[in-house]
Amino acid sequence: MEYQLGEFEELVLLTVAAQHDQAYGVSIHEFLTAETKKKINISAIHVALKRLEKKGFVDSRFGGITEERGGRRKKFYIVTALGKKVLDASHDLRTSIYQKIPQLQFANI
Amino acid sequence: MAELQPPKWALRFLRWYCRDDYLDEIEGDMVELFHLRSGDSLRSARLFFIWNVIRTFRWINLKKTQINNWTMNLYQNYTKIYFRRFRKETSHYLVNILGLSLGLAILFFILMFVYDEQNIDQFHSKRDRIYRVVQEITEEDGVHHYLSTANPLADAMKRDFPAVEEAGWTTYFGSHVLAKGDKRLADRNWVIVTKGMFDILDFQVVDGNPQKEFEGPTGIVITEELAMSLFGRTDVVGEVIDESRFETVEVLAIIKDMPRNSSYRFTSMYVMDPTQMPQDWQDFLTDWDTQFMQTWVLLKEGSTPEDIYASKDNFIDKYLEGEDRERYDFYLHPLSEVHLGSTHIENGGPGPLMAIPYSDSEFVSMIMMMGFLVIFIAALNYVNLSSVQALKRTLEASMRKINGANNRQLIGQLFFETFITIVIAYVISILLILVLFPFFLNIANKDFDISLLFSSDFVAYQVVAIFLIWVISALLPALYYSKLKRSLLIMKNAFSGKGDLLRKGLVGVQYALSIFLIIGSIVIFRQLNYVQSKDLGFENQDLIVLDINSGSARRNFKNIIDGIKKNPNVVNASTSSRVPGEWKNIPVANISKNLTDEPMEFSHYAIDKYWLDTYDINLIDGENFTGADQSDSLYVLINEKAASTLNFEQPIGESVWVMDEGDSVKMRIKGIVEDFHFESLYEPIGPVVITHWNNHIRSIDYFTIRYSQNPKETIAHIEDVNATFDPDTPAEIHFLDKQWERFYEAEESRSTIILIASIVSIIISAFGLFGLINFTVERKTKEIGIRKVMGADVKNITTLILKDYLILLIIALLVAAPVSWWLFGDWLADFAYRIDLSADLFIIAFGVVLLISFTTVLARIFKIAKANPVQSIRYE
Repeated sequence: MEYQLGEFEELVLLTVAAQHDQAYGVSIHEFLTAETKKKINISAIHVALKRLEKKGFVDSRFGGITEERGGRRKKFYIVTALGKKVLDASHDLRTSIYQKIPQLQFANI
Repeated sequence: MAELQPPKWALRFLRWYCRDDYLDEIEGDMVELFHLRSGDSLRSARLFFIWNVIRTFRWINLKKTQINNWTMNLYQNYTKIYFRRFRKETSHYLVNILGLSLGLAILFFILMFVYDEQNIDQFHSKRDRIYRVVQEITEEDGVHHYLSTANPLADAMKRDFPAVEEAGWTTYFGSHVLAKGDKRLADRNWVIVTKGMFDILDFQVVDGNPQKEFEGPTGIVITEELAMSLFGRTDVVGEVIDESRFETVEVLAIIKDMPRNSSYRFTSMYVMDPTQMPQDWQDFLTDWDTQFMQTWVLLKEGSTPEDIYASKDNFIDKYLEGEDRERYDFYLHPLSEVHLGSTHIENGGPGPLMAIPYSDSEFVSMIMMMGFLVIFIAALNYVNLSSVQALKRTLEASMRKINGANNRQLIGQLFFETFITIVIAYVISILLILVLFPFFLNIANKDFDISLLFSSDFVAYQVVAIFLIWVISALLPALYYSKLKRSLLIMKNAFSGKGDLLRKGLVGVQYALSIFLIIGSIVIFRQLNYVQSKDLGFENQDLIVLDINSGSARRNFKNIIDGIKKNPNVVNASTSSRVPGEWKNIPVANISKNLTDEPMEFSHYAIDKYWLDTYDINLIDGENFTGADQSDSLYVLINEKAASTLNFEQPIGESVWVMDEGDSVKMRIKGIVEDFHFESLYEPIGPVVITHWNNHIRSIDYFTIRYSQNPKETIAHIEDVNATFDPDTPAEIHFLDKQWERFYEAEESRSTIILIASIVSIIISAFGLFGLINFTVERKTKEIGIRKVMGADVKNITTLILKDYLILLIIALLVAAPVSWWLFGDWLADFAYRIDLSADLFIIAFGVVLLISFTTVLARIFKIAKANPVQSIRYE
């Protein structure tokens, strides 16, 4: 793997890809908290997004000003082609290793 | 919606630290989350928001380039303005900076000096429990404190007082030469100690064990350096030194040189095992009537001297008899006081030489005061100059106010400017210290490392000093600057030039301090000069003293004198029991007119017939000794003081009884010599009786040689002659004037420090005066121009400028004069021979300050006075 991608970053990147073009801090936060059932701090997501953007896996644009945001704009993220490729590679890797797990071992679980 | 707002302060905090380009996303997301949560519970939503703000406070989100921040802009602006004004008013800023840096440099030097003074002897690990025992004896002339204590005291204390963990003694008497093969060494830093001393004091043992069992009565512990010069190597533990104070001795241990801040710095220490000593020594060591030992005590942890004092009376009663019980007392004098609290203690007997002479805490606080005074004057200068500068900056202040600055910001600006000034001054002062450090050590007679300046203790002092100076010197100018009358603000040059009471007060204080310091400097300088150039009653230049350290030298003294005289450089040579200005006590002889009279104590010298000529001591009446050994022994010479003490009508030809224990001889007075100083000028000249060398009291101990030129060759010759008659003892040679200097060494170094500090503060004050008068003249340029047009001459104009200052100066003189009269009179009282305080001191001090003021004004006024008045009127 030539691109560095942390576990949490991968989750955020996946979410950005899943919420295509409508992903922003709060939506990612709510989605991930619901999916992982863990408490995730919004600042962790911000940091991850910054890193992903720096690496070129996501792109961003500003949305309009809304009332509930106290007059601040939303920053929407979208996955780039590179980001998608990285996700694919990661998924492939995991799947290929997963498939090598012998079935028998789990028979009694 | 209103109550559904996230906490304001958290939001403000977020906006303060977060970079602007992230703020939209981060703040927006957080606020949105807050609103999502606030549906459930407002409280938890708020907490959650705060938590998020705190968690977001990370490096990546912080404002990186603060250049766009307005506060930073402000400071940039302050800095820019500061350096612009610096260029415009260079002399003002230089005076400020130089004054402060000189003040800081002096302060740090003095702090280092004081720090070192207070750390002397503090390297011993058990320092809080170590005491020297001081004997307090009531004598006819009062109570004396002696370091010499009864020989068996240490053993008895350890035995009888449970609070004493260890006790030991040190002593030093007789002569000492170490020899190994053909190497022979004699040095004065030796001592005889008990084994216990190594438990009390700290020594850095490199090799061996100073307390090990050894053969014979004594072993020796020497320093690495001594081992190198004696053996040529340092692995000599267990080897034997051929010759010493106690014949052959085994080297028990090698120690490192004792630290430079140790009062005592022994190079060789004889460790004595009393049980192995011959019987006569044992008797000596257990004799309560001889006091040869300096006793040291180490108390047990948690014990205090009071534990000892509680049973002291029993102790004294146990060992002393009769009236001695009443007369003798002792107390424990802590190690921490050895250096600064021992001036009341006399040696009272033989004691090891001190590497660092006693000082006293009074002097330390005096010099500390001096340091604060210097920096205070420097700060005062800054306050004065910056206050008047602030008045010149009305335009700037008003512009800032018009642009929305409030008073707090203006005050902040001046604090910031002062800070820059102080930092620059600090850097310069550190550079000054680095450059002048060797010079300073030399003056202060100290020996420590410059790294002290950067030790953690000192960095703390520096920070505190800088902070205090900053606040003190910034406050007033800042108030001036910010509280300028608003109505006058934009009128340029609205300042009339008449200072207010406060500033006048400050100038007055500065004048008074300057006068005080000038008077002090002159008094100190005159007294030191007086002491060094005072006629001692004999000529102490070009005299060499050779110690007599052996019986063979003493027996052959006539041959030695004859031998020494053969050299053409030698003018005269003689022998005597003591030399004037010598380091040991001058012993006394008991003299009385009748055998039954109560004897008087006269200082005693025993001399040969050449002695008076060698020293150039005048014989004012009668005759010198003739050199006939038998007949001379029945005559004495006395000094003038003795003649007046004895109160004979015609002393020559009268007889006096010269007594020694049980052995009294009637001797005839043969001549009277002029009074000569034989002790430091702290001591008045006392009566002296001079007997021939062949007397019943005291033998000769020194040769004195007067040379005409080439001291080096002379010394070589003296060594040769000495070696011929006394091959075993290396010649111990001193220049007598060096010995005299030792009396004043401590006084001189401390006075020089005070003198230099005073001179620096006077210079700083002069700077300040220069700046102030400069300012007044500048402010009055227009007035001067108008007056000139009206026909005023240079004299009128000078008076105009100086009038205010002159009144202040006179007030300052009236305050400073009595204070200095009292203070310096007190200082001089310590000297038995001293200068008088006279009125010319005050005139000189007044004159110096006036002169500085005048020169400043004249230089400035001349320029204006000579100029075309039209220009000065146009000056704006």
